[in-house]
Amino acid sequence: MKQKKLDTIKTSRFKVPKDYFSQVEGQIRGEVHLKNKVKTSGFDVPDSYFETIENNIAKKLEDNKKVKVIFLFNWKKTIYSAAAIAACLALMFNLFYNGSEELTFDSLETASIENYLEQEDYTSYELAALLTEAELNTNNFTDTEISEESLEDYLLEQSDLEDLITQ
Amino acid sequence: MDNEHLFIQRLTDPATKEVAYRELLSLYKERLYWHIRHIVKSHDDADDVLQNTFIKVYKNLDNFKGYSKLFSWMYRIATNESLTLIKKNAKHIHLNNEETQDFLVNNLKADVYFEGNEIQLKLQQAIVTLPEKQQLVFNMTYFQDITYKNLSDILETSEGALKASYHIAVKKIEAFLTQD
Repeated sequence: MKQKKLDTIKTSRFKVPKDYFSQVEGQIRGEVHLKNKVKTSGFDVPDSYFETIENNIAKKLEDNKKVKVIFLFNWKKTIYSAAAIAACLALMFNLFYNGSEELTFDSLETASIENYLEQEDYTSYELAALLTEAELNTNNFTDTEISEESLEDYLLEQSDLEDLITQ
Repeated sequence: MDNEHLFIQRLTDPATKEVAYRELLSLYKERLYWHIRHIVKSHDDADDVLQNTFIKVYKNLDNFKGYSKLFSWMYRIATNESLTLIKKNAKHIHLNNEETQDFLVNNLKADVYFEGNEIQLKLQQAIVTLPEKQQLVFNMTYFQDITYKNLSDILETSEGALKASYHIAVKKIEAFLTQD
């Protein structure tokens, strides 16, 4: 019974992709053709290269380990010197570049000018040379009103008040 | 526990790490060298990249999770390092990646470690006309005989896509070699 069934099976039911056979023939022939023309690349290596390369690589790994340690050692030094340099630069910067402040009479405070004048000896002639004729007009001395308050303050400050009263 | 897992364990255990790493180095140095050489073309560049690759592997062994195979992981590092070097060279000489590759191949004529004849030089010129991934697939299949299965693991692409990519590459190269 089984034998009869086997005898009647004609196909395996396996399938191939469409155009497979024509395609594969082309591919195999192409590759064979190419391999007949040129099989090897022509690249060459120096003699005993492969013998020495292992040791070269092992040595490089050793060196790499050493380099790492040295690097750690210098780190502190680098930080300190960098900080020192930065501090010096900051100092220099402040000393030599003080902004665009120009010195004019306007920027001086009146109090500074008064203090200076107090310290300097100047004669009335010098003062007169500086004043204009308009300013020297005697009316300036009589027209200007001095408040009572100012007068009182002035009298209080005078140390020889006693002298004025007794006169 | 299978061999791969055992090896990885030895590579991450501080007691056995150094010995296991030397084994790894010995096992893969040639295969990785040729993979790199086919990308960067010159021996000196390949030497640099190979060393950088193995150093990177050593430094990252503890981070290797084992999601992929060990060799796939190493090949991927090698590929990335190689492509990075080409990009770096490109910037240096103010050319784009394609032009840089042309430049590198033309330098082969004067390269003491290229003993290729005219047709081999032409083959290299043909290869650099391909898109980047196709170049990888071609080089790794044609010259390095890496299986599609392993290639699929390394490049994280399906085997079907890789096969298609390879056959297109072969066709283009054939066409390039027959034109004159």
